[in-house]
Amino acid sequence: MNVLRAKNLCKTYIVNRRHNNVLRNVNLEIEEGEMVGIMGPSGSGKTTLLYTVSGMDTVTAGDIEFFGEELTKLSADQVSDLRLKRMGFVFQQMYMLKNLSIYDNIILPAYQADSRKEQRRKINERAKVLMAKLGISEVADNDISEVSGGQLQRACIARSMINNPKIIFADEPTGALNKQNSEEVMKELNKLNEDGTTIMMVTHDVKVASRCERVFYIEDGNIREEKHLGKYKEDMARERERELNNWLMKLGW
Amino acid sequence: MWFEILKKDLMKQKGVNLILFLFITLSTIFLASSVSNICLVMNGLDTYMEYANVSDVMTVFSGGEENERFEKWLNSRDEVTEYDHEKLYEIKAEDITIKREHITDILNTNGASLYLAKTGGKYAKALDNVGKELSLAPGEVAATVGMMERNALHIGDTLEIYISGKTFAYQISVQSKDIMYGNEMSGMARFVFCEEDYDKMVSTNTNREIEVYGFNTTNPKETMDSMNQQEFKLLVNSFERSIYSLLYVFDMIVAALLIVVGFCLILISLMILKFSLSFTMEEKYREIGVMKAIGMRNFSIRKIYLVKYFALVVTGAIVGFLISIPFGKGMMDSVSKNMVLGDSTNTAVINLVCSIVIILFVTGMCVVFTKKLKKISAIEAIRSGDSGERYQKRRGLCLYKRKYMGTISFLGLNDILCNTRRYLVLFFTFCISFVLITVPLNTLTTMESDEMASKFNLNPDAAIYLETVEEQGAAPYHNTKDLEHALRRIEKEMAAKGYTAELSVGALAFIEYTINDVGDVIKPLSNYPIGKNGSFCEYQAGLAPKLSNEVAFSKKIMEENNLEIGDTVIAKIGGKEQKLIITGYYSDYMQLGKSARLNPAIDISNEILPGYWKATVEMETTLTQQELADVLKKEFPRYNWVTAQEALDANIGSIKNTMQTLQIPMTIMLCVLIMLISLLMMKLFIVQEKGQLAMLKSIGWRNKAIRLWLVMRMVWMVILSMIVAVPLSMLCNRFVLRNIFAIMGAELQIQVDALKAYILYPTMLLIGIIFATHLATGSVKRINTNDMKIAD
Repeated sequence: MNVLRAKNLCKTYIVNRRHNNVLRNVNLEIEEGEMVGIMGPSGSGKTTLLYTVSGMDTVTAGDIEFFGEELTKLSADQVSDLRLKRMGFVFQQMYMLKNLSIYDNIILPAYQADSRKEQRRKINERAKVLMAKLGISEVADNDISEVSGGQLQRACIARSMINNPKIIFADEPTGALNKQNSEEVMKELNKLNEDGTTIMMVTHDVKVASRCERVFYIEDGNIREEKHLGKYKEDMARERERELNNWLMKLGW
Repeated sequence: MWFEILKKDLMKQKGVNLILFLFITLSTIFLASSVSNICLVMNGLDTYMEYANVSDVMTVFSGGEENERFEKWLNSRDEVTEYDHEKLYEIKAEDITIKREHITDILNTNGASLYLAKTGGKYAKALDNVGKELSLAPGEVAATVGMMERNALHIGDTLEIYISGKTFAYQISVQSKDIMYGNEMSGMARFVFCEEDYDKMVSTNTNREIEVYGFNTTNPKETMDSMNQQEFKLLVNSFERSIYSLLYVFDMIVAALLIVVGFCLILISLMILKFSLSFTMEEKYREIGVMKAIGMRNFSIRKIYLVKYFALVVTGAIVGFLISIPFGKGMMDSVSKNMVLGDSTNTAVINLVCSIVIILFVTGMCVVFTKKLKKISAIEAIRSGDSGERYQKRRGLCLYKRKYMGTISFLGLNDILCNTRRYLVLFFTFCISFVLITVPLNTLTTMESDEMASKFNLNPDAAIYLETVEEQGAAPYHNTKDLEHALRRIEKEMAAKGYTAELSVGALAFIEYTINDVGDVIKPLSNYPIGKNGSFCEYQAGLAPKLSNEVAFSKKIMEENNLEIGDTVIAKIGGKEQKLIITGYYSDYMQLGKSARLNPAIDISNEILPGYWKATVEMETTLTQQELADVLKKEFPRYNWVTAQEALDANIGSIKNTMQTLQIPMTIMLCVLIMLISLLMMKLFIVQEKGQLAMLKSIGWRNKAIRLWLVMRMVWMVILSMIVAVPLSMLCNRFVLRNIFAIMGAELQIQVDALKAYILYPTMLLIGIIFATHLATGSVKRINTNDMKIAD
């Protein structure tokens, strides 16, 4: 079943009366449980694609279907609700509310999505499970400035998972992390994907992209080609990376 | 290059710069207008007395027979440096009618004795609106502000004066400010004419002329003591210069209120200015760090900000200065209505100085802030001044522990607790504003209360009051016999129409008491009850005098003269000395807290009475005072029936009206001010938190929820500040308002309308703040995911 389907997606920014066509007739389909990577040179439209298909940004033309529901026809509030309850987001910068602890930042979207008191216990239990899974239980009560970048990014992943989303959109999730932290974060994302969560991820890193089932190469606002790598297996990591590298080299990466 | 950076900064940071500009402008307006108003009001009464040429002592004689003897005595006193006297013609209000646009009205004097006077008096002069001596042409008359307002008179209206069968018509040409006769507390009012007109009117009947002497003395106490010993029979009243500060005490309440408001506004404006400056400068830390990192020198970086803030503060201060002049004038109108407050050209200079102070203050603060740049490294600046070290535990609450609090409410409260310093300015602003709103409100509630009426010897439970008891056309009664006859006459008139009523009145006489063995003498106004309820009074200690050898004094007299209940005094009544025992003391506003109460059994029929207090009417009725007044006005139209509140208004009505006219605009002004501050503060917070707001939007928070969160912060701020402001307001009642009212001589409980003061007004304030904040959060809609880049 298609989680996400984009048809003839166009996005144009007008800067100083000049039209900048960032996305040009992009067509894309993502199946449930897939882990999809978006790659491409800087300014090719990767992040814009991620933001438009997730409803964070408006489109100039085209259709986006999320579980068969036309996203472009929904009101701003309806799209917000969809993002809160059925989508998860992980950004390159670990954006969190400064005045809350790590734990409170994680549970905040769930408390906001369902404010019933009886739900709060369930949310707290789920947050604890997620934090344990992601290995950040010990920093639960810490301030966001008191943890490492990797821990913070894992906290962001936990936050994105708290409402049991159908899909997680990740924009360069390892962009601000060192090698070791990147490995940790990607392992967690693969685990989530194995558990059935669809993931759409923008990345520059071949190693990170090689963990995806499918990789789209976007150039000048268009998907130029896609590469099917199959489900990720740890023991095949090097081969997948080499295969992806070869493919990218062919595309002029 | 720095000029380019400056230009870009001014253009890119339009919102923050505009907010800062507005805060500077507001601060200048409040500082300049408040300081100049405080300067004017502080010396207000002294200035007025100087303009009016008030003498050290003023004496009133009921006729001219003793003029020669009095002047001889004045000449014999070495300490008397100069004296002068003028004549006033005593007239009844019923003898003056107002003619305007085919309507004829009887003059309302609020119970004050009414006089006609001529220009040219040396002391206690009537002045025009700008403080100049009156100059009137034949056919013109000057009326005091209070008289004109009370009777809705306008320049050009005609007064018809009926004297000895002749009618004279004069046109009101000037609204005068009359230091003695324009003040309702003095119980005297006058119309001023040119000499020619006055002589023409009075020539037919000089019997009603009173003689007013004013004299300056180097030793007022000695002169007064000597004067009291002379036994001038026609001397009905004498005032020392100090009386004016008591006469104008209620005006000074308004003035004091303006001073308090002024100080609070200065405090608020400086607090906000300091906060917004430090806030915007902290915002700049990151870009300062980048500039340092790329090798720009400290001075070059400082220059950018110093030039920018200097340009902003100069522009803001100029605009603020221009607005402060009409703004300050508007605030002063309520006080300057009754008083001449001096030359207002000085205020422009004060305003200018204050504007320069603001420029220096802001520039100085910028210098201090930018000085810090020298000490911090580039990377510290990039981290917004944070060195990365942390020794304290995170403040704030835990969401998961708040089981009964909504997420948005929690976030609002948590933000305040995490950034207490940031919200402290708002907290103080809300607190001060709330107290400022409740002070005039409680003053007004007290002025309208039964407590206040009782301090004016008015029984709120009496059926009704009668302003005057004289027969139509009769001269004012000056002895007890006439008063007693008048009461019986009115009782009969009422009985004839089916109203069984019992009338009583408090006759007023200046009685001389020798209070100790040394022979110290006081001559307070003494209330002598005629009829059952002629002396309504609540005693603080002891009992009302009943037997023929009993007397009571006000607490102020008792304290000043070290008298106690049980002490004896010698009263000189009708030329005879009588030993009286003090049976109790009380606290009221009669003669500004210095009066005596005689027993009803004593005979004062030989004393000349300067006047009497309102006549109390006791009768069986189910009607309220107002309803009964309406009924009796129809049945007995020639009598002036008044309620206790109306009788009270006769004394403090104009101040009450002033307070009322001041309270509403002041409340509105404070509401608008705190709404504006809330709006600008919220805008500033949004600019700083744009990144976080964008993040919340991206993870699915609705605009409505984010706006509600931001509004909730302010709601919490209002709630927290009200928790502190309510007891603060109560303390203010106890230690400020009560003392102001006590200057008048009476101790009274400040009355609070809890519904208005603690529910209605705070709710109004809350609604205003919610509205302003909601308006400010409108920009949340325009925040998008790109703004996440601004996040820390």
